Amino acid sequence: MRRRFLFLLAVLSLSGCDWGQYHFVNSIPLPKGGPPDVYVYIGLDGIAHSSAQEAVNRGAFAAPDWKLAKFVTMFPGTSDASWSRLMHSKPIEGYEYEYYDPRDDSIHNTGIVGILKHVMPPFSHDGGPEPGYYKAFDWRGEGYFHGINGYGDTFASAYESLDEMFVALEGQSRFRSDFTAYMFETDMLGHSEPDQGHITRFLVRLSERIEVLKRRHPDQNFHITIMSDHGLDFVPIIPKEAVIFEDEMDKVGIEPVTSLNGSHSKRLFAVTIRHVRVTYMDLRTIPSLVEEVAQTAALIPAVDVTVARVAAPTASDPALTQTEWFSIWTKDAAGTTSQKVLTFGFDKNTNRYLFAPGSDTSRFGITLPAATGGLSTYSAYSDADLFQASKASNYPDLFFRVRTSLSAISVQFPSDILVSLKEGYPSMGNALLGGIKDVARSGFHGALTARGTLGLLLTNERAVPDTVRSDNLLEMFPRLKQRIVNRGVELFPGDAYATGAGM
Amino acid sequence: MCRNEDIVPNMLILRTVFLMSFSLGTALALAQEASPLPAAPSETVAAAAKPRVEQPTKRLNTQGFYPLWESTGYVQPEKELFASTIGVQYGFENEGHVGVMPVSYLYRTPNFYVKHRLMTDPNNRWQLAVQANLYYVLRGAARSLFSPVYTSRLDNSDFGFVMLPVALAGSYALKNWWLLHGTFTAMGIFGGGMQNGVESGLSLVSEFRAFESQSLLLHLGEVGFWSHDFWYTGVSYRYRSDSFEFRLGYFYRTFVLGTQSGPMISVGFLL
Repeated sequence: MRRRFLFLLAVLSLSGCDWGQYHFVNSIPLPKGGPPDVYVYIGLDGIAHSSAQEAVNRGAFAAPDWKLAKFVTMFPGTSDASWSRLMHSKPIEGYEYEYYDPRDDSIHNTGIVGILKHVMPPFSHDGGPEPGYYKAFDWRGEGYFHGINGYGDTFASAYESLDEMFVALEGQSRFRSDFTAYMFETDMLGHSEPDQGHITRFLVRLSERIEVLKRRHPDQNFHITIMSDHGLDFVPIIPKEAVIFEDEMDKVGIEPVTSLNGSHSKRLFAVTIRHVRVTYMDLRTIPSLVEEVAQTAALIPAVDVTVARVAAPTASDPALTQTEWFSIWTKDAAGTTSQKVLTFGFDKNTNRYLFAPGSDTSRFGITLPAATGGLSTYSAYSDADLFQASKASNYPDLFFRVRTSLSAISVQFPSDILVSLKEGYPSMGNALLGGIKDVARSGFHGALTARGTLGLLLTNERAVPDTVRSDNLLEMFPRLKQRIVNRGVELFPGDAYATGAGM
Repeated sequence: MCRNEDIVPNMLILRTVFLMSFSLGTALALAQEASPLPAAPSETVAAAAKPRVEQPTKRLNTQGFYPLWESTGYVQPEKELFASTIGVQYGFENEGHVGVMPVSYLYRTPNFYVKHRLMTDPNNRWQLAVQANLYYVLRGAARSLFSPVYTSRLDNSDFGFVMLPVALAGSYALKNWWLLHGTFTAMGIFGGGMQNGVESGLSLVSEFRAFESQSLLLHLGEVGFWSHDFWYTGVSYRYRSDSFEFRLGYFYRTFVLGTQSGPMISVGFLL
């Protein structure tokens, strides 16, 4: 008993080091004034473009000072992978904390272990299990219990974070001309609140607080950019409960497994990554089964489409040696059969996408633009043209996003088959202790479709087009890039062909 | 829980904590038998009208808890070494003590302080002292927090500076279970990227004693006055036996643009 007491005392005392210093340094009076121009970058997790548009409609972030753009984020729309891609930080292993490692053919951070990593506070700047992008932010938390508070009482935690972030921003802007911050509660607000009104009001408050900051420091120009890592569909769960995807796989004849090399009772099998409640699934299987599993999984009622890499249609064609090929599967209207609805290639030499003559993209609401040439028997389309053609569809930037989702960009071990679920049919995910995660019932993200994809990009720093590809954030905002480098983030290359479209 | 975002959640928590703390503290104090004052000089001394503290109790509250802006009127008794995480101090001649804040050294802030008793009420109701601290905040100290979930509004990545707060602190025993500690501080700040000058602050701590060894303390402070910077408030618990002290508290710091909050803890031993 005495030993336990002493242990508890030691833990508290060590924690208390930062507690005391936090109060100490923040109680030191600051000098007046500061650099004339301050560049501020605020990352708000999971805020949809529609929420930002609604806030603008209510008078927040008024034009012409502010510009709002649709921010086309990666597929699958999941926070850790997307922030890693935005910030060009060290790729995480999979799309979530829970991931499949092909080197040892096993799933890591399964169940509650992976979930708890979301709320585990880091005890040092360079250690711990956190993804590298966190290091990009000057402000990213308000204490050891920030994660628990954020999931436990999201509403209160969001405003508390807003409070603390502005104290740090106002203070640090006396000394430096740049500041970065990240808040995660906005994502949980979207998952849990019955409508997007709470998020809209939060954005209105943020806008008001920015105006107060400007009024208090008329001698300083605050150039502020706000971005999010994915959208939110605001479609509550349509069936009684979220989808247990493994059960659904079993029904269509795919055995859910935890490793690929073990014995399997069915001919088709795949590893599934469960983790959190999102509208996508990450499946791994052996190369010879990829196409068949992708086509079969598309039969699952909750599935919108499945995507996977495929072999070149005419593998012997020497013109296609520098190409990669991708297919999309979906089911028919009756839901009884599934088929490959589109196959396209990507020519690395020319940064152009290849489609067979007669390829039908109407399923996605996309009309192919005029071809800019061809390769072998295929018509070629520029990345920029396809971005323009697809940006307003329900599958924005479809071809780039499908291609890069299956590449090792911001993730070390990309999926074999990515499943995009229908809105309203999220995967169940793992529950936190006490069922806290079960509050996520009102809106989701992850799928290929627009609502969960389109985040926000709000800025008064520069002009932006109406739709921006999120991969190009650092190229568009070089001061942000410089700041995160100064903060010690090691930059990793993104997709080599991302620039040029949507920036 | 109230779901109106127009109400700052911190303020709701704050009011609740204050109301509960006052109620609890008063109830605890009234529920117990009167206990001797912590700072009482001996009756002999009082009778002789000599305002000199001979052998004060070892349970004196000789340190402020909230950093920089709080102190008390009491000093460490002669030849006592009290080592706590918020200050290691040694008493001399019953007139004062000298010390350092050890944890601040871990955060690149060498420091030293001296406190001297100025006056003691012959009736043992109050005591007045002056304290001067000297800090050299080394380059990068403000960013030396171990965990990135704690952030400083100060960024001295490329400069160091000196702080010299001089505080006039008094403690007054309204009842044998109720003490008030007030501190007026003038803080000189010099060098580096800081603005050379003097900032001032005032703090008030209401200490409710219970069961002889335990106290509930309510903290309130203002920094900046006419050039208002922030005000703070908080509540803390203090346990003190003859040889051991433990403190745990929670503080809010409110600026015009926002609020910071967090717990504080300290552990100390009388050696």
